Amino acid sequence: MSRAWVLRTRQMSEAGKEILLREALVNHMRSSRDRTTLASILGEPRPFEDILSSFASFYLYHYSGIRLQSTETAFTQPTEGHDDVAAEERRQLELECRQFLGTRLTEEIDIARLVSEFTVRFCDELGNGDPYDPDVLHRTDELVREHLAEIPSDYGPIMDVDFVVQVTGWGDDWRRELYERASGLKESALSLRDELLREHEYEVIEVSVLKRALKRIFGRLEYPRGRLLHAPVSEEVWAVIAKYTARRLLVEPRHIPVIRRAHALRLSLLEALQMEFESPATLEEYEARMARTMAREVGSMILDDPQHAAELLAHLLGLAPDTVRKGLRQAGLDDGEQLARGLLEVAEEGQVETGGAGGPALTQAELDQIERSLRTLEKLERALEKPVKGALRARGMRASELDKVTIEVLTRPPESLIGVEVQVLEELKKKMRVPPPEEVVHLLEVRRRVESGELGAVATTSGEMGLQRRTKESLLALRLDIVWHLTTGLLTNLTRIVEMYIRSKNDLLRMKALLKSIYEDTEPRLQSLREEILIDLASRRIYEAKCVLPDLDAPTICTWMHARLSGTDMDSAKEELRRTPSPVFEGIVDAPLRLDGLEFDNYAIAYDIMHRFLQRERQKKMKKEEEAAELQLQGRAVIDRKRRMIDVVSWIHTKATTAFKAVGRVGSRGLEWGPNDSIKCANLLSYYVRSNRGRRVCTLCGAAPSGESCPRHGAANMKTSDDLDNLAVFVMDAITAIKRGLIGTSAEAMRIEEARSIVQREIGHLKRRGKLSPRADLRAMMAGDIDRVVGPAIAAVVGKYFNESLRYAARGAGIA
Amino acid sequence: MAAGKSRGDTPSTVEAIQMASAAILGTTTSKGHPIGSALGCGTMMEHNSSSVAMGVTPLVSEVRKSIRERDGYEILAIIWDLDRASSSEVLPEQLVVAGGRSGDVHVHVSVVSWERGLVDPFKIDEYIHTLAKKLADIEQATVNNGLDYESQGLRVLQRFNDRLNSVLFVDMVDRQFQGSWDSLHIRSADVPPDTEVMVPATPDFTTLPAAVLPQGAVESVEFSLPPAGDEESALGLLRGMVLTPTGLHTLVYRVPELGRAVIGELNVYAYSIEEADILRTVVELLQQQLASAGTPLHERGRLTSAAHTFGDTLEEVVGALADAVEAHVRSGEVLSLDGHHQALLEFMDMYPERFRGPRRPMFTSLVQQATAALKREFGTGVEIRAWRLKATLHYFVAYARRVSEYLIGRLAQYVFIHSARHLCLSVIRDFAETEESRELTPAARLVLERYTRDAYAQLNAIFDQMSYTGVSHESPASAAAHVAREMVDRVGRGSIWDMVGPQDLHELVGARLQAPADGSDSPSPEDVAAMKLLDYTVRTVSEIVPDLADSLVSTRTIDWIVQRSRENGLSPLAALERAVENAERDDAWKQEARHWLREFASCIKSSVGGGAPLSQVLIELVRFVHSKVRGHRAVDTVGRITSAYHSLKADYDQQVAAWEQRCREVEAENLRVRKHNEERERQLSDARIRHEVDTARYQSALADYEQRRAQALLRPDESPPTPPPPLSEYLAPVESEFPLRHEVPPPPRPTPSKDLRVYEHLHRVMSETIAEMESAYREMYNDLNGRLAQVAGGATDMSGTHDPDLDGFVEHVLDTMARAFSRVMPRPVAVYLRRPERPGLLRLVTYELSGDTLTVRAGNTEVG
Repeated sequence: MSRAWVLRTRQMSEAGKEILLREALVNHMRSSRDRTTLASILGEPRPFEDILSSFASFYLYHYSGIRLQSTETAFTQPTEGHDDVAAEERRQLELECRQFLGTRLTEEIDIARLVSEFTVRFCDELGNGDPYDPDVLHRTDELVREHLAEIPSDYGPIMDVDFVVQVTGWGDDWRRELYERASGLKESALSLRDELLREHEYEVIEVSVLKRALKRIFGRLEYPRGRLLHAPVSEEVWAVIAKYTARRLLVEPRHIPVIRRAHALRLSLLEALQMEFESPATLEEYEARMARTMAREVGSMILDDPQHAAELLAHLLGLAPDTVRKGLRQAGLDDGEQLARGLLEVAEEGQVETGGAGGPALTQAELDQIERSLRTLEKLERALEKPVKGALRARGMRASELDKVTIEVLTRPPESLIGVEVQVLEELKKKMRVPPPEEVVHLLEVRRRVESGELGAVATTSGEMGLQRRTKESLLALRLDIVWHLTTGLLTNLTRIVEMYIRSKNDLLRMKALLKSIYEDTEPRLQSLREEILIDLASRRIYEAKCVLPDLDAPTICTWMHARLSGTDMDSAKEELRRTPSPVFEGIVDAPLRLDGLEFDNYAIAYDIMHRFLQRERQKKMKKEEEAAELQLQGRAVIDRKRRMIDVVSWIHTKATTAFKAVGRVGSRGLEWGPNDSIKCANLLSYYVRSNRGRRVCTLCGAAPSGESCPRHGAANMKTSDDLDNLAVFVMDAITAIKRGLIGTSAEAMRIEEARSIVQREIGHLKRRGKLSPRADLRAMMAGDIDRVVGPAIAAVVGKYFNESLRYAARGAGIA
Repeated sequence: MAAGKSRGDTPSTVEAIQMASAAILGTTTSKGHPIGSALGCGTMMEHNSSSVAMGVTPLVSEVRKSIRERDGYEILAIIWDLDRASSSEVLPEQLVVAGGRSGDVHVHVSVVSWERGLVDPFKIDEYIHTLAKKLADIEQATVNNGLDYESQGLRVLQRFNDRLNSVLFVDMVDRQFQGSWDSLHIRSADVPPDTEVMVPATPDFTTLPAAVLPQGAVESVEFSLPPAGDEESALGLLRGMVLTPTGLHTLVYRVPELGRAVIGELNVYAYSIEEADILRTVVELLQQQLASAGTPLHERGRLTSAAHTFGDTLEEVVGALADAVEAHVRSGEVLSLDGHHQALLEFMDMYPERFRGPRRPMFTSLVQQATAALKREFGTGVEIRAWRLKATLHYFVAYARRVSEYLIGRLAQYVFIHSARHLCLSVIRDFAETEESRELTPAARLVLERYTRDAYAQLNAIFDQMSYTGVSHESPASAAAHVAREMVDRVGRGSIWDMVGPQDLHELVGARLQAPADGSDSPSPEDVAAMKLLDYTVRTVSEIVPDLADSLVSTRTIDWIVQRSRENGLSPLAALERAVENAERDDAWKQEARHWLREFASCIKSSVGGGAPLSQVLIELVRFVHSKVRGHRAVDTVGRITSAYHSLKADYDQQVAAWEQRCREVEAENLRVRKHNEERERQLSDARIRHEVDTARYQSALADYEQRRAQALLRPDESPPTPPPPLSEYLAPVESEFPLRHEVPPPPRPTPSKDLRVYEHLHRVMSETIAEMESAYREMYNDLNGRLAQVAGGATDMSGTHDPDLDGFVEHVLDTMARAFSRVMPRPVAVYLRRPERPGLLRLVTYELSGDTLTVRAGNTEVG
């Protein structure tokens, strides 16, 4: 069961949207569901550092959908292999994360310590200063530089920036600003290009904070190259840093002691945390051990000055004091002293609890169980007393008898019940589920034990117990809050790495939109233009990666980039880049781009990577299109086959038969030959004429036997049919079908001469009306002529005959 | 068969828009290979994508490169409006060239759009940067993969280039680059101009498409600093200007040309294959029919009626074709393309009465072309369901209908123009032949060649302009007269320097120098020296001067000067001198540079004086340099040699004058000497005479004495007479008083320097050549104008002279009707420039055409 946060930030109280990824990650780490999954993945305890990088990979894999094997290959795997694939992908991801993370976690803790040391020193020296006094600013500047100089030379250059971001408070300001902006309305109506190349700052908050800091320090976005003290940073910028630092810390003089104490405390807590980082553990163990230490230390610290408990916590955990105050109030912990004692108490308890020693101490689960039992009993009793007995009383049962019935009744087997008891039970069953007697016995036993105090100082009713437990739970949760909020502050680097992956995923999604237009536009210039936009994007991302991980060299960065774009792991990406010819030299030399020796921001690299991506996407698309085309062809073949099997006249036959039979029951309405039928008929006719051109027909009866001779008239009258013949045969068959539908199979078939004359007459009409050119070749009519002119005319004739027959049939049935 | 409601669609707006739009994506890879793709404007462009793109790409790259290398600017975008005569047709309205780069890969796009403002420079700029990155990435990938670059890598890149271009095109048509409220807006009013260039410009119809192009030298260049700016901002602005003469030249001259060139390249293939095919087929049929009926083309009446009959038949056949297509598309048959062809032809047998006479072969030919179009679209050997052909066939029918609508009108026009043109051509040809039959010097021959070429070009231009503006005439004769009048106005209106380039002059003068007149085998040393000088001068003018000008005002130099004068406290001039000395150029360059600097120093002293702010000095420098360079033309070489010669000659003349003065002084002195000597002579002869007299007296006294002694008549005291003293005693006083003085010889006449002699020789040869050209030019001008004036006067008989043929008709129609860009006139609007190192600073260059002057203004603005 997940324990809720007492000291929530906005991100933590928001579900679904994970904007401040650093907090979201911690939130996930604290959630028991994720924890169980992770535990099952991890197996044995591992150093906390490792756990963090596995957690990052776990998050990326399960929550962000980052895959290292492109989906196509994944799908070809047999289903039972899925878990193995997932495990392998996660392992790879974890390796990548760990590679990028390096020693940054420990470095980050040291920087956090340095920040606290700085703050303590600042409070000692300048605690009474005026933030607008130039001397104070000057001293602040000196202090900042002194502490920067303490960063060991082998630490990543980004640590200096992080230090500045923390002491100046820029990080908090910017995070808040970006969070608010991300929650607000998004700009819309941007062109595809602008949308793609926009900064999308809130997507990667930590990276954006870093980039903003770099911009502010260097005047423009530039990746840090070494220690900040040796970098070309202008004096104005140092002054700005000092100004922000001093104003942030000196905003309220009476808080200075609190701040100082908070940071002194933070120093010792960080020390404890660092120890923990290296020893193997699970998340639970880490959490529990840290919680004990922290609860004790924080508790005693608050006890020293209970008035400022909230401020102390706020400064310790890097939260806004208001957030802390609100959280505590809601949890009923707003009394400082009580809070401190509670914390001290739970600290001790926690020790026993997790120590697992017997005695009255109960596990959380057991307590839950007890509360549930009590609540069930109370519910049963309430139901029994109020609605059940009331209803029975209303039915005229005697109150005295009813009063005798208590919850005890339920402990007896139902068959042993008598009289009124049976009725009560029946009534009760109507109201709620009644547990079996054994269970009720157990519930009562629990209550007895609770009431007797056998289980320690637990309240006797579920309500009391709830309240007590809530306070205690809050204290326990608060204890964990302290652990996790402190941890949050140390995950900046990890978060940045995770953000980079997420960014790549989002970019891919955005790029897809542009891809579509790249493929669909045949104009090569526009294609180049759009490709160039994507290449520019790749360049930006490469630069961003360099800012986040300045110690990576060009080959690593672009291998990573390539891996991201192709959805694969870095090893295979590296292999591909090394082995396959580069698009940069396409058509001129077949050689891979040699990466070492190039600057990471070389255009050729971005071009190479982006073009590989584009080529792959294009191939994918072509393959898809081929498949689609194949399907279409198959579909067409099926339709053709079906068509060939169509006996065009059978439709008319069916229509006639059903219509004339039905007319007796329903009348002629809705059965008439309508315009749609005409169109259908004309289409069938045109198909009939075109597909039957050149078949052999008998001139005397219009039969088209499969052999060379007419069964009735022999081979002598056979001829190769032209369009007129086929028209006549169609008319003959159609009208015969209608006749037979009306009269029955005995009806005489229409003669071919009659049909011919009908056709001739119609064509004559058409010619006279100028619809058909007098010079049109009637033996092999143009498709348009059949479709649009002759077909409809003949269909009209058939339709007219049908409708007349229908009226006849209706009269016969006595309806019309 | 009922002539149904949907008789094949007419081309929709979408198609018209696609016909009036184009996109070219050109890439220069990091190894410098060009790649290009073109799209739009009908199917022909797509089929010739790479040749169109290859035509456009180098043009654009070169302009971009020139700006980038000289002034460090990247061209963000160049925009031209495409002007046109009014019509309801959907025609392209704007051309935008934009570019960007990623690493070493440069990318640029040229986009023609059917609506103005459809392509926002800043929006497309972002897009181009991603494009460039993508292409650079692909290139890197091919390299990284070890692909062979030339044979494989480029093909991969080409494929991506094509792909990205098509994406770009679709995005453009989809208005993705259209400016919107959030895009950057820069109005030229917000950009204060700091540079303003004015240049004469006229519509140039000599090649299609026509364009307004700057003609001749720049009228004025002005640079200004902001009125109320401090020194700092003024210097900042200076550094942001496009300052070099080459940069300005590119903006002022090459950008307008680039627009025309790009449109021109596009225009070659800017039509649909279908339209051209239909046209060819139909014209062939028309020719056959006219030939078989024996219709003389020059008889307008009969031709017109025959053509109209043909046109009516054509329209009927196209109608029948539409019906046949409609019927066939609906038949749902699955056939091969040949089967479809056959099925369409069978339509004729079904309705024999519709296909009497010439209609049958006409229908057959059209169906044949339609099948060709289908084959292009679907390839052969596939079985296709008839409805899939719908789009292509409808398209085809639409084109056939279009052709049938304009063909006859065009025919009349063509015959008309053809005869007028023929007449004018014959005038020019006669002129050329007459001229050639005369004895011509090479110079005159060159002028003739250029002159005739210009005349032909102008003739075509006038016809093209007539068809652009839609001027119509009553008869070919009046048209010819109109053309002749225009020609008189236009041909040879300028000077020979518009026709003769520096290279021509170099060759002509060189030839003269190398083939000496006196018939000796090898050129005289004087000729060789003159030749060398000519080479040197041409090189200086064509290479050193522009480079020097560019370097002096390049942003780098300006920055350098600013820096030096700030840090080291150097004066701008000293800094400039040092910059010149430090430049990595040869001696000739430096010598020229020093020469310029001296000139600039004196010039700046007079204009701004010392102590002017740096920015002032620099802007003066810019002005100075621009004044030194006004394009590179033959006349510059001539001018340079003439002025050098004159200056040398003047030096020499001065020397001679000095010598003469000296001579005169010597002569005066000598005169005195001569007088003295004369006096001395006279005195001496006096002494001699006295001596002689004394001697004679003594002689006679002695004789007397001797006689008397002999006679002993002597008195005892009487002594013999004393002889006179020797002559020398007479002379000695004179000699001492008038010593002999010598005359000073006059100084030798100074000889002209070798340089001068060489210059003089070259100048003489050159002047002779030019004089020859000019006289030839005048003669030709008079000759041709006389002939044209006759035509203009309507004095020519047009009848029965010429039978126009229809061979050029197809091309004529393609040019005037089918090609989408024939009827537009690109006019530059704006250029956006940006420095990569300062992306926030934008330089906007705008063009404004008013009357015959194109004004180009440029200014900076900060964005972002």
